[in-house]
Amino acid sequence: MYIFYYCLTGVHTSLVTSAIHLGLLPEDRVPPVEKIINLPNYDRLAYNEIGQPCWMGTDNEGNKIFSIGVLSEKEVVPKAIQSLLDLYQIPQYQYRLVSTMEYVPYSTALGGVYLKRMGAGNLGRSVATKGLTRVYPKLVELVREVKDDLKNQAP
Amino acid sequence: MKIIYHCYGGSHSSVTAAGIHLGLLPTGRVPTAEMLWGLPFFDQQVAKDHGNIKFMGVDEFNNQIYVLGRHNTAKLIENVLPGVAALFGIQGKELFMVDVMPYVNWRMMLGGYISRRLGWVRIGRPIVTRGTQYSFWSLTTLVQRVKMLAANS
Repeated sequence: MYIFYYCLTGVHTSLVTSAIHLGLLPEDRVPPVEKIINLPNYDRLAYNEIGQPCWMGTDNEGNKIFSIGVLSEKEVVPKAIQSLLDLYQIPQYQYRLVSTMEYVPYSTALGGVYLKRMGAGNLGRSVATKGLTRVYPKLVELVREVKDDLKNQAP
Repeated sequence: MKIIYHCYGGSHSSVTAAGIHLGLLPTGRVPTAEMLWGLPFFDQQVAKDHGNIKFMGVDEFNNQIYVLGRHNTAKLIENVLPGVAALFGIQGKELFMVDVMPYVNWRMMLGGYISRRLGWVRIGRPIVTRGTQYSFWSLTTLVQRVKMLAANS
């Protein structure tokens, strides 16, 4: 099964969520900032590449985890993906779209997108990461829900 | 092959381009307002339809033609849809995305906003129709180019 986590940029909130899913980050405590910054592809934002599914890895059950950026179109883009896959008659159980949009902290949007656009990349990264450590427990909760759901669906 | 014409709301420019592609509109002259209003989905889609890919018809080379309203995400949608499709084994040849937004003029934007967003159809529809007629030749050129590219690939 393919699991797509999506958020504003695809390289902040959803990337950390997929890292939690894959076990790259701990579930029981908030990791230090350096550990988040050293994740592969973290904060590598290129405007003409937003939207390309970012491959994160395969989890223990063989699910393939991807992270996608949808900018502020949190309804239109997932709907378009869903309807495209319906056109090609790909069954619903082969993929899952998980929104992390509601957990994107204000500071991550500010730091990850706007400060970076203004040319303050380093400041933006630390502001964005600060925000993520604050919502970290909620992201762990989300991953737990998704994993439980997958387990119930499997048999 | 599936060809998706996409623009902001999926109800004027992309529908007209798909109509030209399918031969629903005459190619030798600018269509009248009634011909445009007779197109499926012309000036029909509202905000809750955006993001749903709508089927328009099958052309003479057996390509399926679709329209999509995708707000201001031209580059994003051209990254995300082929990217996700490729994961499921749908390669570049089977999906062709066409951005119609560069051919949209201010009359179409204004009329489309009044008719679709504000819901004042009687005021907005004549303005957007006039704008579509104004852009008709450039849309025809776009469709010719798309047909050539589709035949080559």
